[in-house]
Order: sequence, then C-alpha cells, then structure tokens
Amino acid sequence: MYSTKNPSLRINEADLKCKNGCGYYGNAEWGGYCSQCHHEHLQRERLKKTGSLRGFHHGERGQIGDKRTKSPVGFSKFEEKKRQQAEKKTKQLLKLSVFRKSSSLKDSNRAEQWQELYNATPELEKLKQDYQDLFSSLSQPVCHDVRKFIYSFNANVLKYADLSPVEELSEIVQNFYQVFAKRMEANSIYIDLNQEKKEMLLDYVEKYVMTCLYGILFCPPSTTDEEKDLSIQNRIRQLNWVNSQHLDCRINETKSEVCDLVYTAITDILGMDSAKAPQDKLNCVVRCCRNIFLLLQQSVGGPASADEFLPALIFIVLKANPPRLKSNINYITRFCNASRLMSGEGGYYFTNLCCAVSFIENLTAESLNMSADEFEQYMSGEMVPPSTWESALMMCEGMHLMYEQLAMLEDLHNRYTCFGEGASALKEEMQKFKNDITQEVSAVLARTPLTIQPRKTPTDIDSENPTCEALPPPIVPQIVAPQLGLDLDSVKKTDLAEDMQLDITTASVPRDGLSLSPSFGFSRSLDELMTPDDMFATQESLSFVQGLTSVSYDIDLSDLSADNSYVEDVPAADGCKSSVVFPLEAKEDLTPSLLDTTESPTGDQLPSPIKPVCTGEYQGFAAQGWQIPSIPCETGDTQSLNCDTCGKTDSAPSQVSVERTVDSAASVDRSASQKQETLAKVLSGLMTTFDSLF
Amino acid sequence: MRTIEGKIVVLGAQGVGKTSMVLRYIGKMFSHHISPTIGASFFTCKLTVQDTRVKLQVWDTAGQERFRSMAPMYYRNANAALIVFDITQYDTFQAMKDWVKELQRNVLESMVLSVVGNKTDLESQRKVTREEAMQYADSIGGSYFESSALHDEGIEDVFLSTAIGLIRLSQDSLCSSLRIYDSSDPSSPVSNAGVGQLCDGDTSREGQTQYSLQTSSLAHGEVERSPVCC
Repeated sequence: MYSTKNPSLRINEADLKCKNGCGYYGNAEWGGYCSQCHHEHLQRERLKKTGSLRGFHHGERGQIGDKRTKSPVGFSKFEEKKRQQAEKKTKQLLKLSVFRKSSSLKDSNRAEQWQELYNATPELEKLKQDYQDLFSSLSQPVCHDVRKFIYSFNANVLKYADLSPVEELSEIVQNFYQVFAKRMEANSIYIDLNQEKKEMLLDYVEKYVMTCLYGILFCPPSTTDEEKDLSIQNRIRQLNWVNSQHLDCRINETKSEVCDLVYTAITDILGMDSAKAPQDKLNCVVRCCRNIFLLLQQSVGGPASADEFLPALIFIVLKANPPRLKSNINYITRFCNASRLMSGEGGYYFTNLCCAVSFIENLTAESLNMSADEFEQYMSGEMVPPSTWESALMMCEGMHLMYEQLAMLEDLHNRYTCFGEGASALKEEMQKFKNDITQEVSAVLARTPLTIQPRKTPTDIDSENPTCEALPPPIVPQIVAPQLGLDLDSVKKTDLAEDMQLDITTASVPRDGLSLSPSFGFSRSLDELMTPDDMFATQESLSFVQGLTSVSYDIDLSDLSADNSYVEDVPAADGCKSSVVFPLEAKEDLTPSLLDTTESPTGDQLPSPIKPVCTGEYQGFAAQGWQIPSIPCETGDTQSLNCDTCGKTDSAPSQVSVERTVDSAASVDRSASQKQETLAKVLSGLMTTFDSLF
Repeated sequence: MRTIEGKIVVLGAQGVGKTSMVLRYIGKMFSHHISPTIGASFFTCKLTVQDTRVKLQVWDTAGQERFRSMAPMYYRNANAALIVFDITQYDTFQAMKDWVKELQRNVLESMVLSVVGNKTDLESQRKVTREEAMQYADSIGGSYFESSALHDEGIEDVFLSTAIGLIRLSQDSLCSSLRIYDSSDPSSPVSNAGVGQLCDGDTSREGQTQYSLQTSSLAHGEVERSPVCC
C-alpha cells in the first residue's frame, strides 16, 4: 500500500521514501510524499487553485471535471454528481471571493444548511430518545451546556466544511471531542457527574453531531473516497472466486450453523453503511467480528486466534463486498473519537478490518499460494476454481434441503412405524374380535344348533277337492301297526312335510300374487306337474293331506298361515328354492284374513269340518276302544277332537281310559297292564277269599 | 494510585506459540481480571504492580507470512511488543529479527520490547541458545524471557515485566500514546499525555491523519509534537 505501482508484499525501501527525496518515508495516500512534503504540496496547490480561480473563474476545477469524464462508463453517474457538487461549490467560492458579497450570502446559505441539519433525520429523534434517560438525570445547566456545545460544534464544522479539506475537518472534530472532554473535567457544572455519565455524554455529543453532519462529512466530494470505493468494489468483484481454502481460513462452510453465522457476519458488515454515527459503524464492525469468532469457534473447536481470525475476516469482506467500504473506513478513521478508536475491542477489530481491506487491495498470486498464471486465469474469469463460495453455498443449500428432507423422512418414518404399530394392533384386535366372535358364534351354535325348519307348505285343502274324490278314503293310515308308536308317526310326518314342501316350491313359481286364491294356483300347478314322480309325490302328499284334512281342520289353518308367509317370500326371490322358511314371519296378521279368503270361494264346496264322515270314523275308533293309538294327535287338536267325539258318543269306561291314554302309547300300555294286574290281583284275592270261605 | 493503560502487541512467525501463550495467560487470568472477550486475539487484563494499576490491552497478530505487510497497522500506537520465537527453529529467530527491524522502523515512540523464546519444553531440540537470544535482546534494548506455553512456565513473568516496563515508561512520560490516569480522576489524562494520546489516535491507518495532525498543530497551535514522518 505504500507503493502505487507494484502491490507486492515486500516493498523496496526506495519505494517507501518521499518523492521529494527529503529522506523521510512517503505514503501512497499522500501521493508518495512524506507528510510534511505533502502538506506543503497541498498548500501550494491550494494557492494555485485560488489564484487560478480568480483568474479564470472556472480554472482547475473545470479541467478536473474534463479529466474525469474520461473515466469508465459505469462511473460517470457518480462523476456527474460529483462534478455538479464541485461546480456548485466553485460558484459559491466565486461569489464569496470574487464578488465580495460574502457575509450575507454566506449567512443565508448557512441558514439553509442549518435547516437541513436539524430537519434532517428521524435518527436524531431516535438518538434523543435513546439518551432520554441520561438527560432526565442531568441538571438543567448541563443539558443547556451540552446543547450549546453541540450548536457551536456544528456551526464550527459548517464554517469550515466547504473550505477545508476533509483532513482539517477531521482535526477540528477530534479537537472538539477533546475540548468537550476537557470541558467536562474543568467546568463546575459537570462536577457531580460520574465517569460513566461523562462517557455517555461524550458519546451522545459525538453521535449527535456526526448524525447531523453526516451528509457533509461522509465521503465529501473533495476526497477521492468514492473512486476508491468503486475500485475496491470492483476488486472484490474480481476476486469473487477466492474461497476459504485459498485464504487458509478454517471455515467449515458445509456446517449449517457456521453458514448461518457467516450470513450474520456478512449482514453486520453490510449494516455498517447504513449507520450514521462513526461509533455505530464501529459497532457494526465489532458485531461482525464477534460473529466471526463464534463461527471460528464452531469450526476450530476452541478459542480462535488471530491467525485464524484475519483470514476469516478477509473472507467475509470478500463475500460481503460492503458498499462504500473505503468511505466508511475513512469516515470512521477521521471522525470517530480517536481515544475510543485507538483502544479496546472496537479498535482492534477495526484495525483488523483495515488489514483485511489492505490485503484485498494488494492481493497477489503469492498471497494465495498459487502460481501467477493460475491467478491471472482466475482473475480474467477464464477459469473457475472447483469449489467457490457459490458452489459451497449451493452445496449448503442442498445440504440444508437434504437435512430438512431427512428430518421429514425421519418424521414420516416415525409416523409410519406408529401407524404400522397401530395397524397391527388393530389387526390383532380384529383377529381377537373375530376369534371371540367365532367362538361365541360357535358356542351359540353349539348351544343352539341351527335346525333348518322345514317349510310349511300350504295345504290348500280346498283346492284338493277335485282330486280328493278320486283318492282312497283317508283311513289308509289305519294299516299302520299300532306298535310303531308316535315316533314313527312324527318321522313320517316330517317326510310328508318335506314332500309337500318340495311340491310347493316347484309349484309356486307360476303363481303370481296374493290376489289369486291359493287354491286356484295350487290346482293349476298341480295340473302342470304331470311327471309321474311328481304326480306320485303329489298324490301321496295329497293323500296324506287328505287324511289329515279329514282328521282335523286345524291343520289347515296352520298350513295356510305357512303358505301365506311363503307367498310373501316369492316376489323377493323368484323361483326360490330355499327350503328354509321362517315360520314366525308375519303370521298373526295374515292368518285370519287369508283364512277368510281361502274359505270364501271354496267354502261352499268344502265339506264342513265336522262332517259326519269323520265323526263316523272316529266313532269307529271309539268303538275299537283304546287300541287305536295311531291317530296322529300331535299336530292336530286331538283334545278338542276327542272332546267332540266324547260329546257325540256315549261315555264308557273304556272311553275314559282312551281319553286318559291319548297322550302317549306307553302310558296306555302301562295302564292296560296295570289294569290286568289289578284285575288278576282282584281275581286272585277273590279266589283266596273263596278258598278261605270254603 | 495511578492507572496506566497500554497496548501490547504480540508478534512472531506462525507456529511459534503466540496464541498458546496468550491463551495460557488468559486461562490463568480468566477468573478475575479479564474482560469478557471471545477468541484469544484481543483481550484486556489488569495488573497491579506496587501502587500502580496497569491495564494491558493485548493484541494478538496473524503470524502468516502473507499478512506480514499488515503488521504495522497492528503495532501502531503499541506501547509494548512481545516478540515470540521458537527456540527449536532457528528460522523463527531470524524472522523475529526482521520483525524487530520493521517495528523499530515504524514505531517512533519508545516501547517496551520483550523477546520471548517459547517451547522450552523441547529443550532437547533447542537450536537457539540462550546466550545468543539474550545478546540479541540486549542489542535491541529489550529483555529476554524463555517460556513454555505447554508447561505454563515463565509466561506470567513476561507480562509482569512488561507491565513494569510500562510503568517505567510512563514515568519518563516520553511515551505519549500511553494513557495515564490519576486514580482520583481516572478519566483525565495526566499532563500532555492526553493530548499526545489524542494525536496518536490520529496517526491513523493509511497514515493520512498524520497529515491532519500537522495541519491541526499549525491551525490551532495547541499540539506540540516533533514533526516526524512514518
């Protein structure tokens, strides 16, 4: 930085010397002069300037402006603005110096500037609020004095603002800080303030004045700050390929926490430009550096040293490319209270920042440990290093995404397992439930076995009339040996029922509705079923039915009811072959009405249920005594039948015995044998009495 | 009781153990004296020597060769320098001489120079003899210490003697960048030291305010300072 032409790390001694050859060291900032020579040179320049101004009105400034128009295109905007400012200033200068109307114009001008200053900013309001606590604790004269001091401070700086180079202004400002510090020590009104409050007051004055004067003092047009800003900005832009490996800084870019801290640090250093007071700018730097230390701690795993810190700071500055970097640094250097800047953490970090900027300015291939060729290629953009920050960023982004998605996957996985567990639990439960139910069902089934009840078939006795006459008389069952007993009868009867049911199933198909009398339907169906088997079956069943009918009319009722239920089923299942009938279905309500309907059309033709034929036969039975147990009394109401017969015939002891023995054949037998026994006993008793008599 | 506030800069090639030394010292001071800082590159500590309180601001520097040219920024306005080398590497001893040369060229104020030969725990591999180092330290007007950051030997001595050196310096009041306070009124810099300190604050980065100091002294006639160039 001491040499303009060759920015290498090692600098020849000769390059450092003053251009004037006075033996002292020169400085690039001073155009290669030593401080004293530069000062003299500047004064000479200034004299020349004022002289030329007097002479040619526009003079040097114009030339400078012309010269500057040759600068690059992107820069022209700034240049324009700058030139305008310069010209304006020149005009003012002309007015002041040439036309000698100085005082009045100056005053009005100053007034305007004052206006600008104090209207200025919401920042001032904020500042006032921030320090409200302090001022509320201060006494009235102190506040007044501070205000007065700030006013004179501003006035003084304004007075010199247009005329003096920025270095002088800096000196003035620094002196003011000094004066104010001394004033606080010396003046009696400040005597009861403690050190802390004095420091705060000093801070306040500095912040307030600097916020007011920011527009004038920051990057003043008289300096080359703006050009430097642009050049460093371009330089950093050119160096955007530099990554942390080149700088040997141990930033673990792929770690997301580190990445976040890098972003925070970059934000902090970018914030420097928006702060107004030099102290605030310095605080931005401090915050940035602290974040760098934090991220280094993350990467290195211990307190970071300067060896690691400086490369990291350079890296951050390179990646942040803060706007107006040079202007900001110069502004802080010039106008921050020097006692503060030169000591403490802020000073240290600021020094490091200056180092970083200086390093970036003078960066060579050597300082990045690469060959000059390689460096050139990178700089010209021909080559892009494999892992630039951007790619690292991209990778980081990818990593971020990956982590996010991994987390999501994990979550999903967890949920999936949860779900799976739930599902299996549910499955088990279902299985258990199923088993339980099956068990229960089987238990229930075992307890109450499903017996398929034979469908009760309608025995439309009425319709049988035509065939009935051709049939043999119903006393056919008489042939059955009485020994068979009731069991046989019941079996037979189920057979009969089944047959009948079969009949009806087949016969029921053509039947179409309740309106038709079941008897007609049945007769029609009977006509259609003329296969011999069927015929036989029908005949057989009918013969049975006939027999039954003749036995008891009550059977008809029950059968009819069954028929009704069946008829109801038909439309639901066409040609239904199901043999299972639920006899409970809708029995009660249908029975009477259907009975009526069945009776009404055919009733006339039917024999009255209490036909003498039957009774005659029963009488016949009755005449035969108790030896006729074969009457199927289970289904029929034999009781009533018997009653009828009892009522019709003369009662006899044998009748009574029959009456008693209708329930079961066994009991009949038993009672018979008992009677015989008792008879025998009686007889033997008689015989014995007779024997004893004789 | 007086308070002296001085800046110590730690110089030396990379890998000689600057940071370890500083860390070791911080570690010892940590519980009571150190101001809370993160990292080992900057810290302040307070020592009390007899009736004087010495506040040290220790600035660690990056030792890499590539940052060599930045060193002047660090040791600007420093009141003391610890120049560290590794006794097992003669290179670092030679490099240290360059550091000192540069330091003497760039710093005009008198400063407390301390030459520290680190890594005495590796006595068997010693390449730089004690005599040679001591002779050199004498030649530059500094004092020589040997230490081991690993075994924590001799480090306190370095800082203590630096503090004593600063006190001596303050008594000469030749060193204007040293901030000296009276205990009764610690904020007021004693005599012209304050003004000097201000000016030194101004002798800034990139050296441009050196100029302004000059103009200021002309304009206000307040600051007396020998006109020197850096």
